[in-house]
Amino acid sequence: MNADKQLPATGVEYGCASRFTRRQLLKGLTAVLGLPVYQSVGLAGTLDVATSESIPFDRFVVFSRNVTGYRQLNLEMAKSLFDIFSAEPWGIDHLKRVHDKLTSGSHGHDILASLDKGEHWFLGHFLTTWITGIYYHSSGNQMVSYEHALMYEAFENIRPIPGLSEQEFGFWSKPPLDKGL
Amino acid sequence: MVNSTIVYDADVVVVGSGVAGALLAGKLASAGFAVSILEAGDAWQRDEALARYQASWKRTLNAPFKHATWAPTSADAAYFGGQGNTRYQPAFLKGVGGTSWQWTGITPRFLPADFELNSRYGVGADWPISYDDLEPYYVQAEHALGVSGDSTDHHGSPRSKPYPMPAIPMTYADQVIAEKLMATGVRIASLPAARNSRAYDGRPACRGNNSCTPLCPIGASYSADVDVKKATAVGARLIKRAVVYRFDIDRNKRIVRAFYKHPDGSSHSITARRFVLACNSIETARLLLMSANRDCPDGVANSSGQVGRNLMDHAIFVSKFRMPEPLYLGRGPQSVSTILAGRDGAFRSEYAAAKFFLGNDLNIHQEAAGMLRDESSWIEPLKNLKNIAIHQGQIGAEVEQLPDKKNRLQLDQKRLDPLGLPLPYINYQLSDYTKKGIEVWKNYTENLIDQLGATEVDTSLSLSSHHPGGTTRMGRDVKASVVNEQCRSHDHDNLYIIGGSLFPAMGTANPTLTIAALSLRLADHIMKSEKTT
Repeated sequence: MNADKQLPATGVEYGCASRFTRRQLLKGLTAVLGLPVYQSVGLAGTLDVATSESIPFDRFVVFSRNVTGYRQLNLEMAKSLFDIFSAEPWGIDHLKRVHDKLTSGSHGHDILASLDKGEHWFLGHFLTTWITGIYYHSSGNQMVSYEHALMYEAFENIRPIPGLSEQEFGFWSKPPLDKGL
Repeated sequence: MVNSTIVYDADVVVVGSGVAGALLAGKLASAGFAVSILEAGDAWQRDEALARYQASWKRTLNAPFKHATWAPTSADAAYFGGQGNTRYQPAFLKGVGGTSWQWTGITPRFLPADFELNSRYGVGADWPISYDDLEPYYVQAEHALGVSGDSTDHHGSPRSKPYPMPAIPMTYADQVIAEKLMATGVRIASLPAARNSRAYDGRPACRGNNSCTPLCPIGASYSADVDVKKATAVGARLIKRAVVYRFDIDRNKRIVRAFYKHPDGSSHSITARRFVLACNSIETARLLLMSANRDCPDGVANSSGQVGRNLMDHAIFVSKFRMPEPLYLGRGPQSVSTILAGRDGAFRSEYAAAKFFLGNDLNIHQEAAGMLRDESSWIEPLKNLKNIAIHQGQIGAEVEQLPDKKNRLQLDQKRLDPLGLPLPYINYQLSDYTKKGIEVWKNYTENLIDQLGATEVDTSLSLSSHHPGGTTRMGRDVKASVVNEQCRSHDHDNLYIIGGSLFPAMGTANPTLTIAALSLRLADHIMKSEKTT
């Protein structure tokens, strides 16, 4: 037996994940992408959860278009997000508040400066969800849509959606038809 | 000497069904050998893997693949467990076809000098075989995997036959960069790749999905499940979910039986006249060390004490930058072209060589995440993301690491996997030779980027290109190596090892083609020795 085969115990063993809180685990996973962990726990001091309201789906779509700046939003994904945000006590209320400020006619940086802490958080969360197609939240990350995530769909005429290319061999040697400029 | 009174379960048992195991098993089964393949993981279907990836919020390399919970890999946090050098965690898969399910498919040959590093430059180690010994098998491997390449440009590795398919055309971005750098005397060329440039071997031509890792969605890139199917079609037996953990050895030091566990923990065994380990550099060494017994107290095939030592890889750096004009990365394969510099020269007596690549791996998710961290991007976010994405360029390099006995895999008897088997503990540090090479080639790269007129250069470094090698190295000296030039254990004359673990020195080439060539060469050796006996 080689003497140096004896290694010190570390306490890191299989099944030890329970040592970590769910939040820590999510944090670790999202840290891979550098995405913030959004959490409803602890938001009570940030978001005004008492003013939850509802809006019709078509208003949600209009709000989403205005916030993302993308007109051709996929309605199926929009419906999924409508259900998710409607189920959050702070979801629709914050969407309305952020939307109102974004469409107030002010300039971009003035708008951002006018957002309170909760609205600021919400805007980042809402954009992250639409752009990545993933709802990152400590209540449980959810895949909302792969191909309709705006990081894919809005770029489809520049590059094919990974995994869904219908292009001919060698198309990549020429520039895209949509120059993206 | 084979005991002719024993009825064996198989002529050859192959442990592992990645590129090395699959090619070997197929060639031997075609020649009439009774071959059994033991695979620790399960089988995957490509369409299911694609659907699993697209339905998962995890954007990890392993997301497409149903996890074999009983056979952990580097994807499990507990596998390396925060021990040794935590920054060194080479990724691999356990399943039918192995890690070839997720690779960029780049298949350069080694250079002749890579086999003679010590003789030519006084550093590292020589291989016991030469480039010329392996050249015919490189040809076979290129046909087996289906390699597309420019047959008129051998990049320093002379070839006796053309590639089976023409080269993958350069991306638009590569052409823009090539034209700009041509004036400075820098040459850009297409890299050979096991990716179809036309329909080949029942698989389609590449459609430029830009998702070679984690998964080619259409099988245009080679993956070894293809050869496992061919092997079983000619009679090889595939036993899935079979985690080999021990060998029995007879008084003549021959391996007579391999023991394996199924996921439920039940133990089984199989006998054979010959055993071939093809489990990758980490798991092959782990298995040999796990098999220690009274007669082999330091592990099977380890009288030299070299099993697990001399672990090597390619350190890798990638410089991202912003070009004034659009490059449109993310269209086509994740890597197509190389800069013809850095792989060989007198400098190798002082610092490490490097193989360059022009990156085309636009991780739009990562770019979006980075952009969204800056609130100034939240107004017109898609316009901002587009602006970031279409101007991005990437140049990177894989840098060689020398063999060093202190870079080592051992077993940690205190950390066990779900089947109660000890997990690995890895010590791994970059040598000064490699560090100097990284510094030189990073400066070279940043100088090129400057000449391109690019800005916002951001260079990242990783210790691993996921090319682990060297843990059971090949050599003539029985005290300094684990197997001989025929890949046969010095200690056990019916035990063979195949894979990157054989490499006495790493060079700069991506290892898969050389692993495939060595595997086909071993198959020939076994067939010839069978005729002799």
